[in-house]
Amino acid sequence: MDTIKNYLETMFMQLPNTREVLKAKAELGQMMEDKYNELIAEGKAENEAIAAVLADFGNLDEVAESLGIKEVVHQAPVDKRVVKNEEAKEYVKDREASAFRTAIGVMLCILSPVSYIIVAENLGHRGMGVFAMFLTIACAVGLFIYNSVQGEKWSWMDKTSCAVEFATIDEINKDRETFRPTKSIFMCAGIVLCVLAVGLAASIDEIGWLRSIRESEGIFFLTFVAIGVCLIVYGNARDLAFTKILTLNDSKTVGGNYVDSQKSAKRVTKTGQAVLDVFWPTVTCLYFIWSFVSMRWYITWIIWPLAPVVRMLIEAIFADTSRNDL
Amino acid sequence: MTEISSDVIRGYNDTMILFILRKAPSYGYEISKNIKSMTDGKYIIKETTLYSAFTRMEKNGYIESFPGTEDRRTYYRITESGRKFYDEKCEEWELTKEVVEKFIAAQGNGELENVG
Repeated sequence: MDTIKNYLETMFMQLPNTREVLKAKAELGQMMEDKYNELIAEGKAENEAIAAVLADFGNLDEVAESLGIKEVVHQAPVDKRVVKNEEAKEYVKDREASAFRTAIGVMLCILSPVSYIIVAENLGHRGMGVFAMFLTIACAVGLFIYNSVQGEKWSWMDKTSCAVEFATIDEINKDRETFRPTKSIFMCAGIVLCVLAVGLAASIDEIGWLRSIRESEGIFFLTFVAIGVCLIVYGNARDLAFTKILTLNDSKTVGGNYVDSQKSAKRVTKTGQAVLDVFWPTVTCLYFIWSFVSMRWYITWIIWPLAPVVRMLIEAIFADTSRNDL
Repeated sequence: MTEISSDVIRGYNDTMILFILRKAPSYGYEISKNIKSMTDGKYIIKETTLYSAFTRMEKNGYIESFPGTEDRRTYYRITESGRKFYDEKCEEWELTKEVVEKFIAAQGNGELENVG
């Protein structure tokens, strides 16, 4: 039955998402299902039944006329790059690794003053402290650069008009749903850690053994914040990998509405994409400029949890409403 | 084996569907099953053909659709103008048959030599 469903979804993939089209799809699907069930009940083998159902499906051209979508059906989806199932999975896997690197990079950025405090204040090597701090920053920047170079492998997804088949969308959506509880835990834990950081920094004098570490407020505060922000960034970045695949199909077509989570999807214009491409490097720059100019490391980290919010705003501002692939 | 040309039968898909609906309301697969069994499997209507006939005839007011009470299927019933249309199609077919028949050689031995 899956084969039949996939066949039907693929046939309708590029069609506009109108009531008539959805009704036609539902009813054709019902007819195919009825026929399949009866053939199976008659004792036919599954592949025989599928072959018979598909053979008697006919041609969408016939339906097209009555739906007023004749032009659409005749316009073969030649310009669409179909993202294969393995490609989609590889993309999600790649982005998972890249989300991890981004999160670690952000954590290192926030931790860079901590490495200075530990080496310079607690171990007493002032010069080495500065070195340790820049080494940490260098590692973070290295991770970001590595990520963006790796990401170029998938840049065609933004440049070409892509299509994803129903089976792939279905699978990716299930993966996303599986990840959802994990994401919630990460977000909660991240926020709790940030709040705890403030509380801990305020009450650190009360805890005896901590006082023996110099600048321990700073160390603990920033460490908590770093881990918290790391979790938030990771949870968000991983989720983005799934949504990217889910939003590849034009939302005006049947293919763009296979699952509920596709509906909230938004695509950005070319200008918006250009802005988003330089988003994380810009954030990193801003973070360090602000931090070094003000030297208020205990507050500048706020840039990191705020960045995704700003990113969402940019996405909303540059949302492509004129987009029409039909 | 000879097969029915879809061009020829196209004009009579509506007649077949209306014939079945004259007896009782029905739904997509049941109608296609009936057509298949009534013709001993000589004619199998494609799903897309059937669906486009439904939408066309519903637009013309020959049939009405309604949701099934016990299942999710869409059922169709014939309307008064649908019955009238069916009768017209029957007459049309009688005439068509009569005309075409005159040009069909009984045993395949052409009678061309008698012409003109």
